[in-house]
Amino acid sequence: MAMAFDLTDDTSDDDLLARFAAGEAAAARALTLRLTPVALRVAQRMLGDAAEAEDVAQEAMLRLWRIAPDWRPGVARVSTWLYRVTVNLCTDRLRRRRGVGLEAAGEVADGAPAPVSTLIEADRAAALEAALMSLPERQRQAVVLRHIEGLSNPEIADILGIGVEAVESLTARGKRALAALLAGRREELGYGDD
Amino acid sequence: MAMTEREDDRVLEPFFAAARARPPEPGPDVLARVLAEAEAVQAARPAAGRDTGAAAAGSSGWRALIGVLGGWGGAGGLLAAGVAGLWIGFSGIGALGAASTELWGGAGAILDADLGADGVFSLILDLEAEA
Repeated sequence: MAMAFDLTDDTSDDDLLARFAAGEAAAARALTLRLTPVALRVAQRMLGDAAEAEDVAQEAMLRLWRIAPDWRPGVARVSTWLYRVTVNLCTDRLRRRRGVGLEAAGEVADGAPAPVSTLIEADRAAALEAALMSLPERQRQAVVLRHIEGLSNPEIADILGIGVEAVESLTARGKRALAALLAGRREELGYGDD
Repeated sequence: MAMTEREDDRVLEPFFAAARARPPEPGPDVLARVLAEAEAVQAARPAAGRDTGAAAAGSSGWRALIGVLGGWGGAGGLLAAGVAGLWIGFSGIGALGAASTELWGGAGAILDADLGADGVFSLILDLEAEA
């Protein structure tokens, strides 16, 4: 979608949010372009469903618009707040799924591997996403935020509302399970023995 | 980091790198919906939109005071009390005697003496300035 970037990339989230609250249309556009992808990435990897991830990203952004007038710059990072809201919205969705007996995650993880000849990098990413969906939810959150989003352990602790040691434990257990799931597919996915 | 975790990282890092290199991106329709909601939220509160910077700082004290008074209803009650006190003062009913002064105390006396509606707001502004 063509949207003019009227505000520079180095304008802080805090500043943009204040300008949004003041009614600046350019700030709305800049925040939409900057933060919607963040919410969508996390939601997609937590839910394993593109349509649901879009709904969650939209809802998370709507909540951001609504809290903008009350936002206190410098108290918390906007991105941390958005990660937390997105993770919580995903948790609600997953809980509802369990409530109606849908375990799409397991189905994805147990799917038959694609033929070796067709596997390219996209398939490697897809293999990881499928494996992620087989992890317990908390481990998946920690691994996604740490190793795909690249956040620090203290920031993840803040987002998940737990201690740093708990984050480390969740991440280590999550990676252990992922490695067990994916180790057998490394050769098939073209990684060889490096 | 434990040996097993290092080994896990060795196995997993290529997968993480592939995932980072191919992030899911929001499509144009998603961005359009998000932006439309942003604009709707902005349009729904034009007053709040202008209520920033110094104006917001000034109004926050007001909101705090009104909250302490129990909302606008409470503030209205205070105003009514001030007007009533003024009326009592002018009408001479204030001569009800020392008992009423005892009952209402100093604040009632202040309102009776020299505060009308404007005076009450002046008092509120003073209180806000001190806050």
